[in-house]
Amino acid sequence: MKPKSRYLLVTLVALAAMVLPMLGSSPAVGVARAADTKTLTVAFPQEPDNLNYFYSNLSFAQWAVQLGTAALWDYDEHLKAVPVLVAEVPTVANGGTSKDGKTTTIKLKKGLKWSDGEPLTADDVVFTYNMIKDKANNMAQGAQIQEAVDKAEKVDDVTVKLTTNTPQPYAENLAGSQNFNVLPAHILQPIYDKDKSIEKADYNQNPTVFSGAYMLKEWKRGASMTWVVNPNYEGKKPSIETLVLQFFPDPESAYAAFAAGQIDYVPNLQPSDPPKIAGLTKNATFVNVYGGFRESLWLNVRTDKFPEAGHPALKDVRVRQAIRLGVNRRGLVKNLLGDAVPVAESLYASSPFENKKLKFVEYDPAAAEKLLDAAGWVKGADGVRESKGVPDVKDGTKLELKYSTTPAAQRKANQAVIQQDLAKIGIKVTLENFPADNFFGQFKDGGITSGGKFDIAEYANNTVTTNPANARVFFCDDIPSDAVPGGQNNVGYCNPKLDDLWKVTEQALDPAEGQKAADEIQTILAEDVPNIILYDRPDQYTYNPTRFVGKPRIGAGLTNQWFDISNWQLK
Amino acid sequence: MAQYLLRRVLQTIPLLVLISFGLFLLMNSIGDPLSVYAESRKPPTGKAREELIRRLGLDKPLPEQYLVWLIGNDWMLTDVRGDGTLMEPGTRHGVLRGDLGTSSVTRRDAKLRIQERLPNTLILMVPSYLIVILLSLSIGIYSAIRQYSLLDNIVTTISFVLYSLPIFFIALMVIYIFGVQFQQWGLPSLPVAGMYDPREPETLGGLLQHMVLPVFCLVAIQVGGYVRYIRSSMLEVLSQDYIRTARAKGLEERRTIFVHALKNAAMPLVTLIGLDLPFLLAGAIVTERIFAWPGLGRLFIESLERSDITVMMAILMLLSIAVVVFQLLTDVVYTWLDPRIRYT
Repeated sequence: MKPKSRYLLVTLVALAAMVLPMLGSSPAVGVARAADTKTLTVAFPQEPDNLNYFYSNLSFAQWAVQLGTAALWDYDEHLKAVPVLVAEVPTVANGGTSKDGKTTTIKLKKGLKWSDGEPLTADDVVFTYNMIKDKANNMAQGAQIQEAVDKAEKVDDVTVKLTTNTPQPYAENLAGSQNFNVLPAHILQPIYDKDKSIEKADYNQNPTVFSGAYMLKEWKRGASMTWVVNPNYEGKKPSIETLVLQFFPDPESAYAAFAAGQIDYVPNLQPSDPPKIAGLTKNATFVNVYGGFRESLWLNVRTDKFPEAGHPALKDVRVRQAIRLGVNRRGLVKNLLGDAVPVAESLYASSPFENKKLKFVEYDPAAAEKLLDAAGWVKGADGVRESKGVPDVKDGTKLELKYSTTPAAQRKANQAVIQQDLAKIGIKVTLENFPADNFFGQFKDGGITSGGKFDIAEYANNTVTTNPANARVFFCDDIPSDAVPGGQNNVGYCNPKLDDLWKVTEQALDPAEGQKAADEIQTILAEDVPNIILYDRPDQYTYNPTRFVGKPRIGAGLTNQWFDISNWQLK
Repeated sequence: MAQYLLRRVLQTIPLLVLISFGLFLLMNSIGDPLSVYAESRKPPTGKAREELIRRLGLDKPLPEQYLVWLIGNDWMLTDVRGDGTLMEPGTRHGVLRGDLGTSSVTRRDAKLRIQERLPNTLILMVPSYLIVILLSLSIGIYSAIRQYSLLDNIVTTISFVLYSLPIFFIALMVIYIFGVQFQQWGLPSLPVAGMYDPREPETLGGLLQHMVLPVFCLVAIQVGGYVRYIRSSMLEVLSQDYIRTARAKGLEERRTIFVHALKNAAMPLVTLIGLDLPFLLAGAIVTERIFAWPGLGRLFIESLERSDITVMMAILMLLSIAVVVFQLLTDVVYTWLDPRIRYT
């Protein structure tokens, strides 16, 4: 053979070595799996970091834990409580929470068992509270319980009495599925006795007993988790015998695998994802469930006593109202998000605690211009507004605002649209993007939001869950500063009346009184406009309808998306 | 030679300490570990936030954090319960005693996390690299001895096109073609993620199937560069007098090319391989991420996203050691390739 032919042959063989395995691969995985009615495959964008609920802040860890751990009580997709391990959800009305709100009684169902057959009793519940209380355990969750619960006492095998140092009208803050999961004392007590901490217990990574619908069969680090049905589960046995969580750090490949039929169900979509997935496959049904997140513009109204105050115009409520009128929120949701999410006006939007009397403020640039004129911000020769006779502001000061956010693609698109909207009413906007760790950095490290280094900041927060008491974002004494470096009130809005109302929502034992205060909070915020809600961000899921019998009921991510998994069926 | 090697090894110790200090400063300045909780469902506030800062050791000055990372804290009393009282000795032994630390995210040993991921990375990277070397040697030598032939032009152009495409583009393209479209057309398709099908038993066949797409991408982006190196190096050597002499004396062409020309043309290639080999351990960050390959590169990015400084430091130190070791090996290989090189 001539040298030329030999080199050619070597090259062809090498190329063939790469190409042939493709041609010789087995039939499409999706086609082969169509007959498997007992295995559900789920794409998880992030791998859980821990399988002990109290050692992770990651939603994906919480969702994995919930497969193997039954809550005392859960919530359905409408945030209605569903008892699981308890016989009844404690409330003031049924006497489970005392009239002064300082005692909560948890009554377990009788005959509960761990997956290894050991009884699940009040001892396990008391042990769990004791573990949360001991700071040597270094838990990532449970701070509220640690602060509020003075003691947890076993009354009998199925009854636990919690005594708190302040009134706790909402038992879920102490024991609901979003805050509490029972740990197995018979496994962890010996470890605690030996090590004085359960922080490094192998159980946290490789749990061996379960109370939920499923048991962990295998965790291949970085790849997948396989769960199988728990024979000792208290509730209805799931018909899906095996549930595989496969980890996809890149969402694009997760959606490709979904379109290829290799994945059946994908939780935690981003608002811009549904159109993308629909473009890949027709076999996708999208589900929106209350998520609690609201994408918002936060207006810096800090006063000059703080190192970084916002643009002086933002202190005038008329200017803030004008900005809200000048941003076409419906247009943004329609054009950028394909109407996949709803517009919203309240921090409580879409929750059971939303003030239904509040109306959405529609886009009205003419009204916005009138307000700006009235506030003394008049259009200059270049079309940008400037001050004229505004108290404490030098005449000729331009209405130019810094609009800062993270580099997320969706937020950049929002910025571009809103910049154009505001330009139409004479507000010049400069766009800034910062990496998330800088944007959300601590006050002492010069974080953008905590340091007030913005005029408009865009980000989401999760404020309202299963009760109206959680929306603590504008407390007067929570503005980040040297004295309060961990403060959360980044915009510096302070209204003492609002502080009082929030305290009512936190402490009122009568739900009607709490709701009345929540309604008033929403009215005040709608009038004062310290932030502008762009849209509600529900939890979005997609599943392959050709794999499911009927429509699976999916719970809210903030509580438990699998609350009804026992009734999910595959075909 | 032995004396030279011993001297080089001893020199690496202060070098690695210096590198570790630089990396530690860098890792601690790239962002705020608490910022990952900013948009979470339950961001830690008030006391919980302070507790988290204490647990992550962020309340300590940076030099003290570095010292604990380097030599541990089992020789001093620590505040176990965060109440301001020093109660018990710490549990860290320090990197110098083989304790790479505990991940602040998973609370597992960083060493264990690396042990889990490193083999997966090598399974992906070593075959890719071998194919790259084999292909680029074949193409590079052929292009050099048949310079400007039709095949030389075609192969060089293709390798250049692939070289200039970003890896994420190639990766997503092959996923959509061979994973999604083939399946929708009813053709045999390829798995798009992971090392194995999590629903099936792990087999060599399954692994090979899952390797096809990521290996193809890694080869596609690397082979072009190597081909250029080998081609230009071979062209230079082939024009040397001793090659002409060898041919004039009637030496067989194959022996002239592979023994005399290739061995001398291999010097720059060895330098390149010596520089690249340590990064096989690091994995291919983008490829591992897109194909959900559970390797070290992906672990690094996941740790970066969650500001898990302990794990990032462990990976970076592993790489630093690998760079130093492979540079030493490269120097040794030089002496074999070129007997004129002597180390004292």
